[in-house]
Amino acid sequence: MRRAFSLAGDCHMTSNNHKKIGKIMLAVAAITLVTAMFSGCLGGSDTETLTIAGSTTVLPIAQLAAEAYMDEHDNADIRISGGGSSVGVSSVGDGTADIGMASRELKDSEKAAYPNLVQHVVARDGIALIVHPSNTVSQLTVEQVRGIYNGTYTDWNQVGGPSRSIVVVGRDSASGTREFFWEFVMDKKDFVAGMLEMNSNGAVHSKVSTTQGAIGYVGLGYVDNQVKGINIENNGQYVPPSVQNVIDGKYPVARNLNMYTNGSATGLAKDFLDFIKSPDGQQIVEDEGFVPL
Amino acid sequence: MILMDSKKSGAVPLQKKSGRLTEQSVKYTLFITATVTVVTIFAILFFLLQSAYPILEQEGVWNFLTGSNWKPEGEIYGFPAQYGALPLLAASVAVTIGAMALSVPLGIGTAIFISEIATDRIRSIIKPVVELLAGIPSVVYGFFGLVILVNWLQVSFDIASGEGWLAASILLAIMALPTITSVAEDAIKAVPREFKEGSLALGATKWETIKKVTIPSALSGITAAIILGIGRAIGETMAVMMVIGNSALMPSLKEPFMPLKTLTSAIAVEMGEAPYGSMWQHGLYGVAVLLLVIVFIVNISSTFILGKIKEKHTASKSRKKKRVSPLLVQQAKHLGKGVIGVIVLGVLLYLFSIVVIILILVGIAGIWTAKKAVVRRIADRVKIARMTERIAFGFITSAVVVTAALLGIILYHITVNGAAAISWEFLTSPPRNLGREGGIFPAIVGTLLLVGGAITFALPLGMGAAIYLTEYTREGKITKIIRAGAELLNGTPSIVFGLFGLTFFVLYLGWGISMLAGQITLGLMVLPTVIRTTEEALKSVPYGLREGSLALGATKWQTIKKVVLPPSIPGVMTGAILSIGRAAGETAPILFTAAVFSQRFLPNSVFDPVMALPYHLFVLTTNVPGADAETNAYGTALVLVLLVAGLYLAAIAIRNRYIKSMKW
Repeated sequence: MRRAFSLAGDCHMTSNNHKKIGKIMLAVAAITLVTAMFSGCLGGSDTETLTIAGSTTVLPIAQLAAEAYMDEHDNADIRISGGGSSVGVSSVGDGTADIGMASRELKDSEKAAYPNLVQHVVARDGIALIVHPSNTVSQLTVEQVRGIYNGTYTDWNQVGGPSRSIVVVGRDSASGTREFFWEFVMDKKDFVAGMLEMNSNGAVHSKVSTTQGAIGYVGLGYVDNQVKGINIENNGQYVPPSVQNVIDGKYPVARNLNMYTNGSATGLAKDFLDFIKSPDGQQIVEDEGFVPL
Repeated sequence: MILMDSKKSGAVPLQKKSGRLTEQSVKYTLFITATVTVVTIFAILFFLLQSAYPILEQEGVWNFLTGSNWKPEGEIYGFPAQYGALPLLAASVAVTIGAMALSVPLGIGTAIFISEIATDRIRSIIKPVVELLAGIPSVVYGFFGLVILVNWLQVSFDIASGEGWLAASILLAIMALPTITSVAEDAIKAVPREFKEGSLALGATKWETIKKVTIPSALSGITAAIILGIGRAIGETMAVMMVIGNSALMPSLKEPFMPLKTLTSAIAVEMGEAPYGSMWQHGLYGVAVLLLVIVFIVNISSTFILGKIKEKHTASKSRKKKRVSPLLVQQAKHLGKGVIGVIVLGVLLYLFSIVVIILILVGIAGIWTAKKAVVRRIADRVKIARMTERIAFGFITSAVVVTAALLGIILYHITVNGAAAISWEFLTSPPRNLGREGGIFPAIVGTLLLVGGAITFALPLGMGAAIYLTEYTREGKITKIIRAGAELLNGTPSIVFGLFGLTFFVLYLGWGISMLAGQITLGLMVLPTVIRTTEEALKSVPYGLREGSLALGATKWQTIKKVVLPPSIPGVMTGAILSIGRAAGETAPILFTAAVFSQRFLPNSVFDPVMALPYHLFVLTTNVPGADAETNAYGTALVLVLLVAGLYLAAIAIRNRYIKSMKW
């Protein structure tokens, strides 16, 4: 008897709880719905979207150019994602992006898969060698750099510096920067085993800026007062890594940065690419530390 | 059971035909939802294997597994490419072993502390600490590792670079701690009270009881905890990739700081750069298959061991009825395993060697004074036992202190530095100048949209599957297969989900990098959690209520809808919130499927890409130079941690309320 009574009492209590919980659930559902509608409305109907994907090296140019472009054109919505050069090529080839960014040229397999891709060179990228600011070494020849990266030189005193072992910092094997460095500086020879492999320019920069014996290679945009750029020998002259020296053809280590479209660019894509190649766009390129065309 | 039910409803004359039709269609719908996990597992395996096939055909499975050089970039560089996954495999194993050496003693020490030593008050502080560690997203650990841990290692060990094996192992150890602690705690709790009481009644100290009775009895559970921790560590991607240095070298014991490249970090780093359709890309799919197989084996063995425990506990109960001393039987059974226990404790001792030495010195001094003071031999022995106990508890407490300190250090850095970045503008405006200026508003909304979509997808499916499993079937072959599917899906590393999302939704279905691809990838990832928590909630409803409803003439579906589901809603909500929390912090699944670096407007449709907090943090940390970027990275990390921790706390609060208000 007592048991039955208590059971009824409890049931009453829990059913009250259920009502409360039901209300909570309803509120959650309502919020979800409103968010969904809200996101649908904000876009507006007359905006034109442009999707850009690919190399993280080219990304800053695309990003900053897009910001400037969107300030001028209210109805343009440009979305930029990274992923890497190969993601850029395959997504523009497959039509999931309007423009693909790549810090390298197309490979044969990619040309075969996407025969219609059109290349647009938007900037050039100088590769600077950087060391810790306290390092007394300030100039090297390409041969010396190669010697450091292939393990011939292991101490700074072998290249005119103090006695301190060299910490070789490079990029991971997936990097277009590394590929370029390997072809241009390394003569396609192996890197020293035990080279630290960073997966971004930023990581190389922070490693070198915090490690006394380190040397690394990064895009010119990453040379600042936290690291020291090394002057590279070219025709008997030691040339500092700077945008002007690349433009003048004095600084030897530079490559193309590309955007690809599937077929000739049209509409917003064409307008945007034209903007990047315009004087305003090239100013952005230079401000971010890349080399204008 | 199913047969019986249909007979029952057939026998009720008032039952309408349409009602029976609904009953049938409900059952089949639920069955279909229940099969989603199994279908997903097969789909993942199929798509990965299909994409990996060319490399396995070219290299041969054996050469792929045992080749000692991973140089796939040769294909595009123009030198002979080598596809040997052994260095990656060895690195994954090495990093995991390093992580376990740290987290096993810490985790088990904390588990013993929580379940055996702590008072209720202290327990109520320590448990949330451990749960919060589980709530910190992987990418935040990676960020912490990159800006704090790596530099700290570099300075304190005077090495060229902190990035490498040890840094990754330390991070993984922290990340595996919650898994190990909670499973080990459950195992220790499951040891019958009579065992301990018997031991204490015989005059053993608390420590002697823990050492000789509790731990040996819980040993298989503790083993399962370690194995689950291994599974967690080996599949971890973002944190590892950010601190490991990413050189595909063979690990050497002489160089604990050397840079390595694990299976997971190889996929995450290289997938974006491997040319489409190249052997390199196929090779990465091969790596993913290898990773999946390892994780499956690890998970199956832990399930097997946990299953054995259940059997054993039922067995020991029945033995107890026969009045055979269970303590003796347990002891004899675990004689062999006891040795392993000693080794585990040995590792504990080894790792806290400094603390150990100090405490031993204190102990010896104590024992010496004790010996001087106490004359009688028996009293002497008691004193020594008490002293040993104090020393042992000292170790265990220090394990807990280390665990809490780890959380404290991480939260302190992120809160102090992150608070400087946060302002109204930061929370409400889009990023500018590569995220160095402006805010993270689109990332906050993007994350909410991603997790909202994920749970909208996973909740109905997961609830359906759980209802089918608990209400419509008897335990048998089908439930076993479905449960195995959920189990395997639960153990699948997040980077594998990301790869599957890329292969299936983005490329095969042609959705492109889109919100929808990310939502469903995340939804599939949290599906097992939803199923498990819903099942638990349903099972907690007493069977009598169902029988009462059925006896009143309600159909099965009516009973479920009106009687079983309402009281289990809090449990289901807890599961849903936990899932949302997990999905919100994940980076690897959206890396190739949904995330975009920058966006001024919010997405128009589900086929647009979105910004997300974890991805934004990842890009800010690794790709944007400058002090402003680091400040904003801290701000993003803080917002992300607050969001996820807030969700976890909400789930904990609902769970606690639920437990209190449930009186049947």
